[in-house]
Amino acid sequence: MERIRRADLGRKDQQMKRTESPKCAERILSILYSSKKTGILGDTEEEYRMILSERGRFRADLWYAWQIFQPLPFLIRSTFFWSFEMFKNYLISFFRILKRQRLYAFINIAGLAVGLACCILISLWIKFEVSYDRFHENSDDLYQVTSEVLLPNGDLRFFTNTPGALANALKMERPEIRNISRLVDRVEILLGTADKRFLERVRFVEPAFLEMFSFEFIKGNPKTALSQPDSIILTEKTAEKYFAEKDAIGQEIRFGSDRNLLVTGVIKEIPENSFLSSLCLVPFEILRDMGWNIDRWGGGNFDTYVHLEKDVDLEFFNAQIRDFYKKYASNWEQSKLSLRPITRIHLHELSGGGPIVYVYIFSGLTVFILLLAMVNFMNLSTARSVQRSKEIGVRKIVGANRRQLTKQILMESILVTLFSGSLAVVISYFLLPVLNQLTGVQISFSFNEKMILFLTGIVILTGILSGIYPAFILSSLNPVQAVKGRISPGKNSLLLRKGLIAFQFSLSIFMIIAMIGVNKQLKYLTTKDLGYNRDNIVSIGLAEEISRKFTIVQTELMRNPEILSMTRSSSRMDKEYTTTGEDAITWEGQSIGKQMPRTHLMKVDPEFKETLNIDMVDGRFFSHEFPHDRTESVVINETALKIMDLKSPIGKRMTVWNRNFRIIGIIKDFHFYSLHEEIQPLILINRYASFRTIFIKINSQNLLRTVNFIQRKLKEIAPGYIPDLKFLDENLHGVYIAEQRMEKLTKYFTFLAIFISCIGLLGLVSFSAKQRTKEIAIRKVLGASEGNIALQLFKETLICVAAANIVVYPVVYLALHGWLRNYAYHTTLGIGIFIFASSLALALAFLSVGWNVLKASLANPVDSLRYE
Amino acid sequence: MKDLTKAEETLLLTILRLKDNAYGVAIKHHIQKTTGKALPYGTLYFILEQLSKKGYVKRFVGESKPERGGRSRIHYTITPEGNLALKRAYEMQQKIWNGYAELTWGEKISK
Repeated sequence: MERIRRADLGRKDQQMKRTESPKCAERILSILYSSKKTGILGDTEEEYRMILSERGRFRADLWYAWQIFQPLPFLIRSTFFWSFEMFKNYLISFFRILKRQRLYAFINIAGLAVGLACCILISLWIKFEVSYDRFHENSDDLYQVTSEVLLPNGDLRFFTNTPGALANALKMERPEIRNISRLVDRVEILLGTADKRFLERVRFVEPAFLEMFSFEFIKGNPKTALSQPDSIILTEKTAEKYFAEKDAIGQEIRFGSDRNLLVTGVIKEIPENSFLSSLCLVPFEILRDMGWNIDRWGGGNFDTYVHLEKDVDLEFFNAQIRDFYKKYASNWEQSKLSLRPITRIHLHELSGGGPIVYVYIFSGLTVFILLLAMVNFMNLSTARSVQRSKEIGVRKIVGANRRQLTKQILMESILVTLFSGSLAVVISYFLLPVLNQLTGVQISFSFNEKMILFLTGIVILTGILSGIYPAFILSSLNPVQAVKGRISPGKNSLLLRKGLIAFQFSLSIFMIIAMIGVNKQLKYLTTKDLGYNRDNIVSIGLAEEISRKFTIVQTELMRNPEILSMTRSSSRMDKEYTTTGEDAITWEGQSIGKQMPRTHLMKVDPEFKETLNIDMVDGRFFSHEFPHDRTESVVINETALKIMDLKSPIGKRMTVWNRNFRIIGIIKDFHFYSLHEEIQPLILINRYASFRTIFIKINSQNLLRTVNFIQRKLKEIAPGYIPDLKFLDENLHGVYIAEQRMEKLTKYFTFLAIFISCIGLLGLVSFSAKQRTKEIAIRKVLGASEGNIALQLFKETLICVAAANIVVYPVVYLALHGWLRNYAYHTTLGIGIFIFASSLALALAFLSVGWNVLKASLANPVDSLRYE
Repeated sequence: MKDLTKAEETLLLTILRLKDNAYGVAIKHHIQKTTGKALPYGTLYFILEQLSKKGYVKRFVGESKPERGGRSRIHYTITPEGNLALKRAYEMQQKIWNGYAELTWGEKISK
């Protein structure tokens, strides 16, 4: 009401002439007199108008200004002076206490600094993780086409493969699509100049791709770089690799065996924080010349990326395209189409999970570490309340009220955390390389405003949280008793302190058990019998050049007696496979309604079985003696057989993609995939096309010499080609990089947790031993032995740790079990882990209190009692 | 009951004298006129608050006025307790000042 009237009046005033007092001055005045606003503001306004009408604007304004300045000195004195004086006093007493109690100060500051350093490092890492793919100018409007399909067994399967014809059909039908590009980047091809050749992965993209994604062109024009069919865009590093100091633009590069491409552009390497690896770009149309059918609805070797118009509602769009396949592709009918933002690709796996899980886990752990440090702080300050009781008592008597005392103690804890915080910055700066090594990426030590604000907030919050309970305890002391020194830490706070210690240890035990569990699973993953031999096997990525001369390679290499056998395969035994759709496979004796789920196809030669030591269950493997094997034989694994449900499979006919085969053998199941997943049906074909890898089994003696021999021979046969030799088992370890990181990270966190809990315990026990000096002395005088005393002191710790154990077992069991469920094959959690972790925790606890206990129990009672 | 301070006394008397017109500006001007001293609004309202806390004056909000930027005047009236306090103060003053003229008879009083 009032406001409306005021506005009304104000307008009327303006029509006449401005007679109001200056608005900004009014505002200042209203701040100065916040409590008595209405009266004073009205009065000044009224008087202002009086002066205005009598003596003019200038005098009136002057008068108003005086009204503002008049109260200022008093205001400043009353608000700042005293708080400043008190602050000075608090600081003095705070530093005196720090100086007097160096051990506690060290424990508090070290613990908090470590915790906060964790915070800083983790937030740097998280900042990096969420920055993925944000550097593209259009990153908010770029999407990847994904599909989901409901398998007959009820599982949902997600994938990004799309048929080649999809892109154009989508573009035609949906006007919201600004640009669309297909992409293939799993193809390795031999790139080279006259004197240098390397097997390189290249990325086949359509010209629109360069408009959609932001690449930094060092040379060349992004608009025209891929418009010619025989062009290639190199990354900075590849350009340097092939042309050294020469200008790469306009140079020719040999692509495969029969094609020359013109370098039309050089781009900067794609930053690490992108789902796209840094690869050279070549026009998509080349695939057609390589024999790919890029415009059909069958198959699905392409990724498709979409650039939508701004402000398209993704949910609505996804609903529109969900059943897109129904209209065009009968064999894709089951698959539901949708788009996902490219900024989600890195963090969120399609089936859920992905690095985001690790972000959560490690933020959680960081909070735990910080909690531990806070607990130390709380414990030590409440325990020390006895020693400070005199100071508090005197302050109270002189007139400090509870609020002031609380303020003082909170301020102290904030000061400690601020100090720890600055220490943490230094620590994290020096630990960043460790983090980089752990995560395998280069994270820079840089902060944006949001992070600085967040971290400062964390520091202050930590200060407040760890100070609030001690503040409460200390400020509630009875002043008379406090000054007399008759304060004993109450039973409640003692219990709480023990509880907190137990809490600390339960976290430490949790971490120890988790660490062992993760470690055990990792060991299991990397050493489990996979059903084939993976030791002493060299794998070589196969280039077309070697492929064509394979017979020469074979005869040359087999001359060396150290080389036992060699084989070619279309898979590298780690992850990438050709898979079939559901209806691609039929077989003789197939019962109605039965279908083969997603099945893996692997092309191998007859030496495959011997080289990798795979066992047969039934029938025979491919053989050179049966030339027909090459065209019409398949070998299937046990899982496939189980699904096909055949009594006597050997000799039965089966079709794969409308090609006829005959089953000649059953091989024992082996893990051709990571252990995350169960063994799936596998069909081996003896086709001599699209081999990607050579496996060479070599004698375990003279490994290095043999490897050098292979390298030399390959260079002789294919000059200029530089093969990448790897050991198969190392290759397989690469599949579990995430687990390896997790294992290392848990190790570090466990160490930190134990460190912080132990120094906390050390501080507390050294304190309570000091407190009980007299008690111990009297006990001794009355005849207690050193052992008795030590036992008594140990008992407390023992009870805490034991209680912690009981609480933590079920929690950690559930957590670990949940994690292990991600793996189709996993280790078991024996009771041994738990016993080991508990004894370790106990041993560490005893170790950290041992010195103090020893000192206390060995002390001469005369010394402690003499000063009475 | 505490004794009134000089400032409180002055204010109470002013309010009494101004009757229905006892609000900020008027009080301030009146005091300035009678005593020659300018009382800042901050001080004025501080004392008024003290007085109303003690129950010597009562405040009520008047109608809003355009010349005050649409804000209301806050009027003060003296309560019976206030009157009583003034009376006591007056009596005390009288006792203190009693016979002053005789005591200083013939002496030169500095201004």
